[in-house]
Amino acid sequence: MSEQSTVALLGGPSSGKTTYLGAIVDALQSDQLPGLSLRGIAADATAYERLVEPLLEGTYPQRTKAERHVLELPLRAQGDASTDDFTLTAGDYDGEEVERLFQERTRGFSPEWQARAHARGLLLFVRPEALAPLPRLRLAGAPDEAAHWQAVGEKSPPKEEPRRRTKAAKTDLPRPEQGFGPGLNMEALRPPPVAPTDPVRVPTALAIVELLQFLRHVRGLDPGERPRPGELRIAFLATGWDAVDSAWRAKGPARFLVEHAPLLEDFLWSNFHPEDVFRFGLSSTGGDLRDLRYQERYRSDPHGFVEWADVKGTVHKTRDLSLPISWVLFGDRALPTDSRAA
Amino acid sequence: MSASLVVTPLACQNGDCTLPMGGRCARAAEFADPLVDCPELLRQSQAPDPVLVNPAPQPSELLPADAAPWRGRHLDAEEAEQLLQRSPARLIAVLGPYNAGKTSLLASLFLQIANGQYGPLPYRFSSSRTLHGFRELVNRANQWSGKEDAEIVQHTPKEQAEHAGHFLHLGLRPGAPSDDRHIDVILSDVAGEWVSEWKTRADDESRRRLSFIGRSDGFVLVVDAAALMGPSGATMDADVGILIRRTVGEMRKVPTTRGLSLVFSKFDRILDQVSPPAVADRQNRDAWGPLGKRIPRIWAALGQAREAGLDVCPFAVSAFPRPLAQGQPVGVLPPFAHVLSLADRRERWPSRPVPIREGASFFSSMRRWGAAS
Repeated sequence: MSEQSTVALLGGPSSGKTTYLGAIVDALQSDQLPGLSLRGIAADATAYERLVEPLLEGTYPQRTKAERHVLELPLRAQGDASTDDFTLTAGDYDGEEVERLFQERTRGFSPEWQARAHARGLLLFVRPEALAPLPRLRLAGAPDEAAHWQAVGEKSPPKEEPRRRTKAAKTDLPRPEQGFGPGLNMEALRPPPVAPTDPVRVPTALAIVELLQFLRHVRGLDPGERPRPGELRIAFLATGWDAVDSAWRAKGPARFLVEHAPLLEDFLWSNFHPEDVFRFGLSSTGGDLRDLRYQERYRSDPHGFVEWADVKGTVHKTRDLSLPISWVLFGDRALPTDSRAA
Repeated sequence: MSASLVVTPLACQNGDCTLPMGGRCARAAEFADPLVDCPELLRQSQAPDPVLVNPAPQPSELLPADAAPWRGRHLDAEEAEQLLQRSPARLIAVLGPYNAGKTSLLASLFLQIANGQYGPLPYRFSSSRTLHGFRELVNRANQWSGKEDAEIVQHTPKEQAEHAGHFLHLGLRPGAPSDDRHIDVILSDVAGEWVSEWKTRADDESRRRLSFIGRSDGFVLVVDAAALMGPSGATMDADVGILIRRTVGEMRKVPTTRGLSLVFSKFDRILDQVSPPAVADRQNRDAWGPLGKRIPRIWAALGQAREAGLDVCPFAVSAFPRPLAQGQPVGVLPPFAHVLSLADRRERWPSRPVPIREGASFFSSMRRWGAAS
């Protein structure tokens, strides 16, 4: 891999990029990431200090108000049989810049942004709180149009009766996955059908979708054209995963993101090969550092965690925060085979 | 043939090729540029005649180097023209009188797609050149309090400027994993006054503004159901009847069937008088009850549209029956599914029986008919 190879961090404002970078730098300095090491340290290390020092004190890293930094971390990843040198890159004010670019259009798509179009992989940060209100977990079964009209015609919102779970018909025939394994699901996961009184959610990820369109445009990809497998991988990270409701966490990050950011999910499905997009739940600090009791625990045992679901739906968990980075570099080979179920 | 020449794919003799429909060449691995080089592709090797305006130079030449690659707002005629010439885009004309609910319908359509609620639409969101335009619409709609007399979305301005945007864009990908096409759908969003002026008097100026109608691959005609049931319902009936006839007269003759969805909008406001008919009864005027009785001219005009080759279907729609936080729209997707099912209909090559030789191996029997031996 060339020295210019980069992995770029993208996300809206306050989506957790800075905290993740700080946690990665801290873990690198204390040799906690088995597959990742620093290739060197920049002449001006103030940016690293600014990222790490607050975490050492049990607080979240804050961005500088005066200057605009592009953070570049030269790293070496150790794969099964090879090493990859690359640069992890993110801007201090990326979140605001994404929003401003979407809003103003006539400036802001700087050469730095355009350079990220040629990244080897992207880490896409989405903060679940930004996707509120949360849809309800519901059983399968779509209400028909008549039920929607009935609900509109009623003056007071109708009480929703719980739908009955439909049982699959029993069959003696062996299912294909019994012989061949679960395989890769090429079809897009879909959010469940809505009930008449469910709110219509206003999409919050439009600026990120637009940015991804811009980057694809710079890369010379037509709309709907999927890059060659392995050429550009995207790790889609739901940050603040520790704060997500346990019912959602049990379903895994993939199901969570399908139901919370369906437009972004559809965009990724349409424009990338399914095997080039993977969803992780990320907690860079393992809990909320604003909670004083947790802050104390964090100071004595600083760690975060990453969760993901395998093809069978089993949710796995690891403390190795570099897993999303390793995944965009090496694909599914990077997923540990000995990880414990969450 | 020069690679710089504008080349339009027309059809391909290879049954697996989807290039003319916006997809990929079945022999893409063999040619650097299948559009130019593939011998199985029938193509038109010159620029098609412009249907909206003559394509202008790219506006990006005038913008700063760090400007966004596109504006993101409604497409103007030049930008829509460029899309039409670049891909086999489907142009859907959304027409109706002033205040019929055209823009609300488009905003609600986008919200359904953004919420992953595709219903009968067999597609997934893939791209949009007008995301900013959509966001402005849905943000405005999100502020609506539920009062009937308040504007849900801003009325499309009656801009006279040449560069005002009047089209929204959605790039859709078929949901079937085996279908690799990307389909550009261009939806018109023009001021109701323009439509009314054209309906009343189709002079050169009004024709120029609505020149996309002739090129359209499908039509969504929006009419305010509550207004039809009101005191001036007969006038509305007559106006929309003329509008349908005018649209039929303006259509370009094409060999394929196009769809016309007649949308009775704001249907929630007449639910106490009319029940929406069952899907199977939509084509039956009597099934629309009192509303059916009030639309003799519209129904007669629909008959003329059918005779002209349009596949016509009426729909009851309520794009914003309540504020967004309080519930879902009803019936927004079916009118678009109807016109797109016809605009995106693909004539697949019939599968030919493959004779299997006696004693052929399993592998041999799997080979495609016609493959070189």
